[in-house]
Formats: sequence, structure tokens, C-alpha cells
Amino acid sequence: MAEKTTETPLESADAQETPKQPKKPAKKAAKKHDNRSPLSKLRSYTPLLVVLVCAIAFVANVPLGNISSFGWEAISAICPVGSLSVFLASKVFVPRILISLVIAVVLILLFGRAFCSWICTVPLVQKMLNIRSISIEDQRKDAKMRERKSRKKNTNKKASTEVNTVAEDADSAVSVALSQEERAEISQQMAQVANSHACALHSPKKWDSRHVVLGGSLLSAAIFGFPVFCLVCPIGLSFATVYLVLRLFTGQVSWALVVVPVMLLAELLIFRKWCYKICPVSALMSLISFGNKTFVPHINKDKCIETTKGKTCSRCNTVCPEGINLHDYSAGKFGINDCIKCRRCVDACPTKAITMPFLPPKDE
Amino acid sequence: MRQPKDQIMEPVASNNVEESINNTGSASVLQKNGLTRRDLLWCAGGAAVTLGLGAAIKAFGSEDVLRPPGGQNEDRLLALCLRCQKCTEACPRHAIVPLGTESGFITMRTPTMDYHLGDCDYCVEENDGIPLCVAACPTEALHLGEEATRNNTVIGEPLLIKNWCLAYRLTRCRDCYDVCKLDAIRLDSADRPHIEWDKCNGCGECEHVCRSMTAGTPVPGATHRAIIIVPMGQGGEM
Repeated sequence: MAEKTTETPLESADAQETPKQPKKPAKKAAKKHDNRSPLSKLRSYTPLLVVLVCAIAFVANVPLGNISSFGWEAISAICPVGSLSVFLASKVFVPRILISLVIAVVLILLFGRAFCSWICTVPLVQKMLNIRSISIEDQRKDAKMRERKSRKKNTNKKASTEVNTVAEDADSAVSVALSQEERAEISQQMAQVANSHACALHSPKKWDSRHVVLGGSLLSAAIFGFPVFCLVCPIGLSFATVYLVLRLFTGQVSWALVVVPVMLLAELLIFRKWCYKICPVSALMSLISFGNKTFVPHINKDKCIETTKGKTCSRCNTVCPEGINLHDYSAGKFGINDCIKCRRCVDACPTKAITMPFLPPKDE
Repeated sequence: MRQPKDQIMEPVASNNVEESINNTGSASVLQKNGLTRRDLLWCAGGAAVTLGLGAAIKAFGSEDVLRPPGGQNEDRLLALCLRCQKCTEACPRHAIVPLGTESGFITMRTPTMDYHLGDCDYCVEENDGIPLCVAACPTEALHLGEEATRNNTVIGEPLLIKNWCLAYRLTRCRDCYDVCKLDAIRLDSADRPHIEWDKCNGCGECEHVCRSMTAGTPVPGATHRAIIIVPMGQGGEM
């Protein structure tokens, strides 16, 4: 549904202005540079936009807060980990925390983990630090393991070349500087996986180390009487850095200007898999997201080349930063509750079979 | 590290194949949580670090600091403060600043009063006496009871260093006396300021206007203004 609202008006406007013939090559040329949909392009700017809004609010003395508590006075969306932490730490019932927690839960039920790809500042900092999308590395490792496993089997060459060509024009959003060789290697392994259909190295875990960090933080907050994770949270630290820089203009200098960014950089550089191994915010959201039924990526089986022609593709699986298998949730690295609504699968699908409708279609 | 991981991964993988065959491809709710040894290491590390961090930060402790109105219960503030810095944004007089590392790690990014840019008048002018920082706080870490007023909410107490004060050089400077709305400063026969201890609420107006250090200091070695607001129990005239 979201796709319809954004794409159809654009296309229809184009069609009205220009005849169809000269339009085609122009569109193709544009596609070579960036084949992402407008929504996906927007996604790469939204975290920056959020930082900008918060910075302007800070300068303008408007208590809008930042994403650890965004809103006005009693009505705000507080980070659910923060609100749980302060509740356990203080053991005081505060009505406005409950209101904010309810708001946060409703938003997560509606949008799942969309926060992670649309709003969170950590991927922004990671991009600045040139930290590679870890899922790609993981997938390479997985692929290598699969290779070792099925080395004895002689694989179908036809299938591997097919996926090779698909991988050639890989999605720009995920194509980190992979060499041609590496790329070929991945696609070869992907083909092997696709051949032996049930071969899944990981089953989606119900919980992992993120959930342990979440539990540990909450327990620690309850024991020691302060929100322990909030002090080291990279989201909070990134906003604190912005504020500290802004305060320089009023002549307020402090050692925090060194300590806060150093902490932020150290966390993200030492734990390069922060989002996948540590972040308790994503853990809590993935738990709540078990109840998320809206904006779930959906494969139109009449269009998908795997279901219609029986060919191997798995491109939606390859580009997914969470390693979700849309064809069979149980075969993915993470379950569908960990979907961050980044729309990479929607963009990557060669037959445009994937959509993210507001409600799941009733047929099928 | 990699060799043993492979050995662990193998049986996990084969289990999954069996399971998915048994379940004829549909997602099984009761599927085993396939954590590898490395995953378990991450889990153990995560639990140890979060608990250790809490203990270490708590053990490191903190110094007393000035808090905005409603934040006088230090334990409550430390427990409820999200470090979101909304109070800093809300303060119309720029008197609230986030703490750095000076007074301990646990207080980092929590609000404190800095009267260099402004004082705290309890938002009498700006918001009819309801402090905007208290209104903005999303977790009520800054919280005022119903009977709380400007006069009975004491942020801190003054420290007057006579040697640094221009008035004690008989310059007849009386800026702090003129500005104090609570009559907490009285002048003696030589126009030198003295503090009326039971009237002061630590609003910081006197510190904000103090000329010492802003218009040159009378004494070499002075490190701050002649009258400043300090946490309770640290004030005095000296």
C-alpha cells in the first residue's frame, strides 16, 4: 500500500508528460546508477533528518528531546529500554512513563523494527566509520561453510551461472566493496544452497546475545538503581556529541566533548556487530515485533521466479541485512520479527514480486 | 577459533535439515534455539559486562552537584534520568547544562545548574512559576510536590569569598544585593554583602551578576566569581 502511494503518482505523471518511447532509455540509465525506489532513497536520509530536527530544536530551546525521548512534555515516545530501565531502577510508578511506553509499544506493533533502518543514528555513525554491513560478512562465512560441506557434491553449473548474473548488478545499498571474485563466490554458494533447498545453517533464534544484554541491563538497573545501559547507549551518545558540539558555540567547553565521542567510537569500532550482537533496543523491539503484522514484506507467488519457473534466485534473502528468508521464515538467520522494514528485498527482487503492504493480503 | 566452530555448526545444521523435513517446510514454533558456542560466549560476555558496568559505575561514585528544581532527591534523579537533556533544551535562561565527567561517571549527562549564562527564577516570568524543565522531563526525574514553591525549593547555598569580592575592597559594588529577589543578601554599614542563610534558595542570580572574574578580578589566583552557588553544606562566607 505504501508503495502504491509513492510510486504510482510519479509514474503516471511521467507518462502524461512524455510519450513512452523516449522515456525508456532515460529510465534505464538512471537505474544503472541507483535502482532504489524513492522510499528507499528517503530511508538513507531520514536518520540525518532526525538529527537535524533535534539539533534545531536544541538550538531553538524547544524541549523536543531526541530519540531517547521524543515528544512534548507528558506525551513522548521514550525509548522502551530506557523507560523499563528507569522504572526498575527507581521502583516508582510514573504515569507519563507508562503513557510513553504504551506509545512506543504501539509504534513497534505497527512498524516493527523500522526504527533500526529509518531513525536510529547508529547505522549513520557506522557508515561514517566505514564499518561494513556485517550481514554480508556473515553471509560470506556461511557461504564458505556451505562450500566445505557440500564440496563433495558436484553442483549444477547452470544454476551457479544464473545466480552469478543476478549478483552482478547487485543492489547498490548492500554492495559493499566486494571484489568480483568474492561476489562470484557468494553467488556460487547461494546457488548450492538453493539447490539443496532445506539446507539452512541457521534456524531463526528465538533469543540471542542481544536479549541477554537486555536482561542484564534491566537486572543491573534494578540492582544498582540507575539506568545502566542508557549511560553507554550509542544512540544517546551520538546525540550527546551533537549537543556538545552545539554548546561549543555558546562557549561551554568540557572534557565530555572528548569522552563522549571516544566512548561512542570505541563501542562501535570494538563491537562491529553492535546491532546484531549487543543492542538491547533491537532485542526488545524484536520481541514486541512478534505481534507486528503490518508492513510485512510479502512475496507475490505469481510473480516470483522461484515459485513460477522453479529457478534459483534467493536475491531477497541475499540482500536482507537481517538474513531473513522470505520464502521460509524458519530457514532464515533471523525470523520475520527482526525485519527492519528497509525495503532492500523490495528493491532487489528482479520481478518486483515483493511488496510491503499495510495489511497482509487475504488470498494465498 | 574457526575450526571448533565448524565442528559445532555441523550437527546444528543437520538437525535443522531433519526438522524442516519433518515439519514439511512449515515454520515450527518449537524449533530448538540454535545457539553456537560463539553465541553463548557473546551471551555470557553481555551479561557479565552489563552487570559489571553497573557495579563499577556505582562503586566509582559521584560528587554532590547542583540540580535543577525538582531534582533535589539525588537517588531519584539518578534512577529516573534518561540523560535525554530535554531540561537543558527547555531552560529559557540556559542555566541547565549536562554534566561532563568532572563529578563522576554516573552523573555524566545528567543536568546541573550553571549560572554563568543565566539564573533560575523558577520560570516565574516565563511560565507562571512552573519550571519548564520540570514540565519537559519525560520521566519525572525532575518532580515537584504540590506544596513546592520557589522559596522552599532549595537548589544550593551560596559561597562568598570575601577576598575576591569587589565590595570588600570598598568599591561599593552592590550588584548581588540589588538583584536578589528573596532579600537573601544584606549590606552592612560599609555596603559589604552578607548572606541571610534562611532566605536563600540558591537561584544563582547573585552569581550570574557578580562582577568579579567577569570584569577582571581583584585578586590574582581567583578561580571563580566571588559569590557562587554550591551544593548544600558547602557554602559559607570566607
